[in-house]
Amino acid sequence: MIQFNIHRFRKVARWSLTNDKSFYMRMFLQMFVVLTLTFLFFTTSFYWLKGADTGYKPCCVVVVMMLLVQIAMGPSMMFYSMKGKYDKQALLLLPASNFEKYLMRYATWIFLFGLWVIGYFGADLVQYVINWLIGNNPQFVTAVFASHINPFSINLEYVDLVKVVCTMIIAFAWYQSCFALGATFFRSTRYSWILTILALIFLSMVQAWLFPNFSSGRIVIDSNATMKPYTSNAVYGIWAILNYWLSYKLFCRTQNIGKFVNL
Amino acid sequence: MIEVNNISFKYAGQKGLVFDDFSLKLKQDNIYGLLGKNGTGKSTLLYLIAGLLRPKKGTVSFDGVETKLRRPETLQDIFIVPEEFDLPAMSLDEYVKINRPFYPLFSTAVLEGCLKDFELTSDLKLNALSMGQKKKVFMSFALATNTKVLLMDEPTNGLDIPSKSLFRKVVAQYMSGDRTLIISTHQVHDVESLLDHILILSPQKLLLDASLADIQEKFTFEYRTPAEMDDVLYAEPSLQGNAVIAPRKEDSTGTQVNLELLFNAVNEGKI
Repeated sequence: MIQFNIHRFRKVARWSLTNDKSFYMRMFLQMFVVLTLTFLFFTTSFYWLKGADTGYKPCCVVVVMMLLVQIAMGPSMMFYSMKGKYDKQALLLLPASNFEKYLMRYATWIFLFGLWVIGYFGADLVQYVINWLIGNNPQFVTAVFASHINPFSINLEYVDLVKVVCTMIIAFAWYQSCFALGATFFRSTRYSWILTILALIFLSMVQAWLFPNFSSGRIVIDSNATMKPYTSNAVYGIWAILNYWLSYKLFCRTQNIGKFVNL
Repeated sequence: MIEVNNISFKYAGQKGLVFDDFSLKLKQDNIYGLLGKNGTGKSTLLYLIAGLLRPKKGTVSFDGVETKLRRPETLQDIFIVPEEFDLPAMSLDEYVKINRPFYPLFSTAVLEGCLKDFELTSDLKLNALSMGQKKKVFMSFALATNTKVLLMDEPTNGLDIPSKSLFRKVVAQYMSGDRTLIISTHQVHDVESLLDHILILSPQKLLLDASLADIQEKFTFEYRTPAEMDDVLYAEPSLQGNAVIAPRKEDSTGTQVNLELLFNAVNEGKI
C-alpha cells in the first residue's frame, strides 16, 4: 500500500534538504568548476591554439553531452549524499512513508539539475569575462548554443517532431529508471552509477546474443517502418515503469545490513 | 504490544541462523533488560523490532502492524538508539527543528531537562562532540520523542563513570507513563537498578523471560559459607564468600537480584 501525505512530504523535504545542504553546496561548486574549466579550455586559445571563437561550437557539443549525461544518470545520485549505513539508517527510521522518502531521494537529481543550470550560467559569465580580459573575442556559450538550436532554422518537413520528442522522453525515462534501479539495488551509494553502467553493458551483450534483431533501441517486428518507433517506445516505456516499480520495492525492502546488494 | 512470532533470521554469508522459530511478547510499561553473550542476536533483535531488518520467516509486529513495513504510524512510536551511530553536521537546534515534527508527542521540556541532567547545553554543534557526548544528546532526544517503545543498544558504552549514573537518573526520571524501554547490554551493573523484566538470549532461543518480581519471589541471592550450600542452585566463589542462588523460602524476605549471577546460572542451565 502506497501512503502519501503532502504535509508529511513537506517535512521529509525539509529534513532531506537540511541534511544534504553541504552536499548540494559541494556538488554545485564541483559542477561550477568543471563547467568553467571546460568553457575556458574550449574558448580560450588553449583550444586548437587558434584563437577564442574557434572553440565555441565544440564547446556547445560538450555542454549538450554533459547535460544529457546529467539527466540520464541523475537518479544514480539518489543516495550519493549518504556517507554510510548510519545515514541510511536515519532515513529508513524517519517516520514517513517509504513512498515519500523514495520520492524525495529520487528528486535529488532534479535539485542537482537546477544547480547545474545555475553553474552553467555562472561558468558562461566567467568565461566571457576572462576572454574579454585577455583580449579574445568573447561570446556567450548560451548565445552560440541558442543560434544552433533555433527551431525556425530546422526544416520540420523532414522531421516528425512529436515522434522525436516522444522517443527522446521515453529513452531518457528508460535510462533514468535503470539508474534509479541501480541506485536502490547496489548498496554502494558512491559507485552505484559505475556498477549500473557495467550491468547495462553486460545486459546489452546478453540481449545482442539472445535477440540479434533487438538493436539500436528498436525491435524489428514487421516490415512496416512506421510501426517500429511506436513499438519500441511502448516496450521501453513499460520497461521503464517496471524498473521504477522494482526500484521502489527494493527501497521498501532495504535492510540495515552491509551487503553488496539490497535483496 | 510487540509480538515476535516464530521468526527465523540469518545474515547473508553466515552459516548459522541467528534466530530459528523464535517467539517473544513484550508488554507495555516495562523496562526490559536484554542480556546475552556476544553473537546471540541482541542487537539483531532490536533491529528486527525497529524494522531495520526483515525476518526470513515469521513476523515482528507492533500493535498488530508488521514493523518491516516501516509505516509512518509505527515509526513515530518506535525509537532506537543504536550502539554506533552518527549525527549530522549541524547544530542541535537545527537537528531538533527538522526531526521534532515527525514525533507528535515530542517534549522540548524533557529534552532540555535531559541535557541539563547530562550537564550539556542546548547550543551544541553535533559534529564537534565526542562519542560519549553524542550518545548523551541522542539519548536525550530519544527520551524527548515520547515514543511508546524505546530501544537502546549498549547505551552505557562510551559513557564515563559519572555519566553512567546520570544515565540511570535520566532514564528513571523520564521513562514514565505507558512507555516501554528495551535495553540490550553486557554491562548489567550499569542498568540493573532500572530493569523490571529480564530477557536472556542464547543462540537462536530465549533462555529466560521473567519479571524481576517473579525472580525475587522464586529465588534468593546471597553470600554463604561452604557449610550452608545444601539447597544451592548455583554458586560462584567471591571475596565475600560464595555468591549463591537458592530457592526462596516462604517466610524469608526478598533479596536484590544479582544479575550477573543470574545470567551465569541461566547460561549454565542451572535455572
